Amino acid sequence: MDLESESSVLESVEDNNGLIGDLDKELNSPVETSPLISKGFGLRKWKRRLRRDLVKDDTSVSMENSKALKRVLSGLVDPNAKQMHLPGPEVRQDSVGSVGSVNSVVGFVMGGESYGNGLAFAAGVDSDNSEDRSSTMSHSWDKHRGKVSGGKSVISSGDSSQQRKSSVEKSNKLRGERIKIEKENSHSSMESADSRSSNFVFMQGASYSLSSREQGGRRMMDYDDENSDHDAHTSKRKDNVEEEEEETEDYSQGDCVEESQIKSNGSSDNLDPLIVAVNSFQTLQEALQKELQKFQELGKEEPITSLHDGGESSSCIHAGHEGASEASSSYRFGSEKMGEMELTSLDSEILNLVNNVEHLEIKLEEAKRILEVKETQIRELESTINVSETCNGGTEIGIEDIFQQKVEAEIEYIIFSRSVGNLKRRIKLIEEEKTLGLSKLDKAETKAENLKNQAQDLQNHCVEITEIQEVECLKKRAFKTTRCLLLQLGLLFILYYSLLPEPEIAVPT
Amino acid sequence: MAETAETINTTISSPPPESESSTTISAMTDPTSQEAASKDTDLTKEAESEKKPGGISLRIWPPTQKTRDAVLNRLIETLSTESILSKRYGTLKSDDATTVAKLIEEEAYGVASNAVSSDDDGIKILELYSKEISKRMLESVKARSNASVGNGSVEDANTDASEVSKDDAGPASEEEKSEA
Repeated sequence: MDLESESSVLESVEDNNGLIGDLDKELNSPVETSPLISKGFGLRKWKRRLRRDLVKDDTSVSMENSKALKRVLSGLVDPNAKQMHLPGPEVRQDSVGSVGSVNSVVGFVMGGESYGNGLAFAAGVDSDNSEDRSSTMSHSWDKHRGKVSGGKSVISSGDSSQQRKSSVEKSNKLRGERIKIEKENSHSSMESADSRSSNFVFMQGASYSLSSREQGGRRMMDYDDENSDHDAHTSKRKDNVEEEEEETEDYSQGDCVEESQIKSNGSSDNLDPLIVAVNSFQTLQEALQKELQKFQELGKEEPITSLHDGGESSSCIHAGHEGASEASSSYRFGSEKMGEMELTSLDSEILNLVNNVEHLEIKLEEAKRILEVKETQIRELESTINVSETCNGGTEIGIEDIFQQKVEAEIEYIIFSRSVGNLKRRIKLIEEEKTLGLSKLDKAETKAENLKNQAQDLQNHCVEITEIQEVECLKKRAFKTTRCLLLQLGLLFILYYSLLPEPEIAVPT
Repeated sequence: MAETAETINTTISSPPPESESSTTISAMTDPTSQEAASKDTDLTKEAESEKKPGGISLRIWPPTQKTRDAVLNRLIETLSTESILSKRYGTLKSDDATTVAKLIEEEAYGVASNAVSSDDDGIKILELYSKEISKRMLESVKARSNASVGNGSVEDANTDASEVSKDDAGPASEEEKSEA
């Protein structure tokens, strides 16, 4: 539905552009079955003729065409801006992927019949390759104009293109058809080189449709430039860059829409066989369940009958009748049960006997335990008796120890008491000696006092003696000094008399 | 210390206190008996001997002869008088008791005197002395009881009876016989 809505919008915008409309219809066709394709081709031819007639007559259509051209140019300018942000090698990788997608889409679109037609036309179209190259070069020149000039230049270019369209259409009707065929051949040749998975084909369908739309824009420009006087010469590098930009846009824009449609179609187609298989399995399961139920019923019913009719089952076993495997198993089961019944009765009797025996054994064990307990009690009593006997011996020993302690204590008491008495006596003697000592001290003190007095007297005498001695010494000193003085006087007189004769001698001179 | 030195010097240098002490001793000897005189002399000798080293010592060991005599008297009493062991093993005569006691005391004194201890007071040696005496008394009493059992039939009958009243009567009868 999304594709249909987009296609309707495009048709309303580009009603008079027959080429673009035809391309959109071609894209819509591959989803349908093969017989519809043949019908579509016939109808498209008539529609083209009608649209061309309208373009020639109406003037209002020219305005719409100018708007369309503006949109195309604006779209072309955007990738240039994007190119500034993106690095080179990544862009190239994306372009390679998109190219592969185009090839795969071609394979999807071209069925057996279309493929054969393509091959038929390929032989006769080689002469037109030069025209394609010139068209690409002119397209690049036009982009360059858009960048440099403002909006006015864009409008003027649109008007010029409108005037030229009528002449181009008249002269080159056949050439357009040839160009389409050449493109188909190119796609088929690319298809042979690449091989991709089916999922990838569905994923990449959107890119082809978008790229085809932009290619329509190129064709319009090409027709105008062929007859114009401008001679554009640009390098191959620019062409490569432009192609990469276009491819990236195609890949990013339309993937989401077509992917969802393709997936929904695939899921709707795939569910049917699964449902059939599921139904078949369910029927099989039901049949198996029924069979199992039957077997279960057989297994349940027969042993019950065998239980109710034991004699019959035993007779059958003895006869050796063997029908189906189930029947034989059921009879065996019945025979086992009969055997078990007999065994159970005997076993019950045996169990009763065994239980009685066990009870008796338990009683015996209890009796043994009681005997052991009594024996232990007897042993305890014997041990107590022995202990009591030993206690008597202990008492005797205790008496002896006590006697020893008594004797020791008595002896120590005696010795200590005697020693204490001796000490007391010594103390008395010492006290007596102290008294004597004190009396002696008193005497000594008196003597000491006397001695002190005597000493003082002696000191006084000594002092006097010392004074006397000093006086005597002083006298001796005085005597000596006087003698010395006298001697000195004598010497002085001698010197005086010796000096007197000298002046007499000097006078006569 | 000065006072003690003075006392020592006075005792050594001055003869009069010795004479005074001798006079006191002579005065005491007159009214009392020879034993008392001997005791006093022993005490004086002991005092002199202990004073000479220059200090008073509170040594308990070695004991004086007087104390040893006291110990002997006590041992004789324990052996001759009634007690737990006497009730069980019987009593001894006074003469036998004295001889046995002397032997026991001499042996114990020898053992104790041979022993060497770092204790200055001599308390440990005293304990050893007392233990030795007690052991030897038990041994002697048991030996005597066994000998008496072996000697006479009458004693055997008394011991076989093993009654308190009869045991008490036995030694009394023996004592009466010995006195007679």
